[in-house]
Amino acid sequence: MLVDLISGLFIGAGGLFVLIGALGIIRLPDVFSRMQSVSLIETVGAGLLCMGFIVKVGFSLVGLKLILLLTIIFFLGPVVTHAVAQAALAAGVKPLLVHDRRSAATKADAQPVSASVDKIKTPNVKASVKKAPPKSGSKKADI
Amino acid sequence: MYLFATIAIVIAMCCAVARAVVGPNIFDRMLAANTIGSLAVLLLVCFGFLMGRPEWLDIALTYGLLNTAATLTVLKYFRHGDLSVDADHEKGADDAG
Repeated sequence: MLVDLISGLFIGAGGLFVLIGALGIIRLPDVFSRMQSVSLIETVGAGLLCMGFIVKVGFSLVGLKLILLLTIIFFLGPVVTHAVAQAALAAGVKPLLVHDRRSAATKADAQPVSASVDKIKTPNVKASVKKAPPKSGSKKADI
Repeated sequence: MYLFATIAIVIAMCCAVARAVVGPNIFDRMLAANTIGSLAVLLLVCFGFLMGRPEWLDIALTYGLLNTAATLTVLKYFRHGDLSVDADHEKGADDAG
């Protein structure tokens, strides 16, 4: 049947994207690059899975609940990811970039490249959290 | 195909648990915990359809909302060290610069 075929295709693709995101969670070297695969799970994976189930059940109460669930996951997942990124930057976690492309556009980039390349050589994830900037918190959280 | 999606979600959840155990700092663990919550929502949906009872979607909705609120609360605690801080009126604490 056509509905079963289309929903099976959507659900299979969603499961595949969830697996790819899980591989990224294991393999990627940094907090900021792991966020990318987490958002892959939360937008594409969840979106394709819920689309498949919506095609399966059609217009009913279950379909309405699935649309609501899809809306919640699709909008609140990036909010949480952005909050994690903001908190990590505020706590002093440095991203493992080779060079900052914003500063390379304005000034010569010889010094920051050479300064951060030897950090890339050892991407062992001991990204030690430095202490919080002194303006932000009254008490330091014990990280 | 429901079974494939369920097994894929369980495998992804195992990977997220491994990252939450290994993860070098607190933000890795928070990200992994949020991922586990989102995958639990998807697992409730898939398992409901696999068992033929899609009424479990109510539990999935509640769990999705609670997961977001819990993650944001813990992140606010680890960023400010205090849950009653007013981040809008605190000078220079935001990332505007």
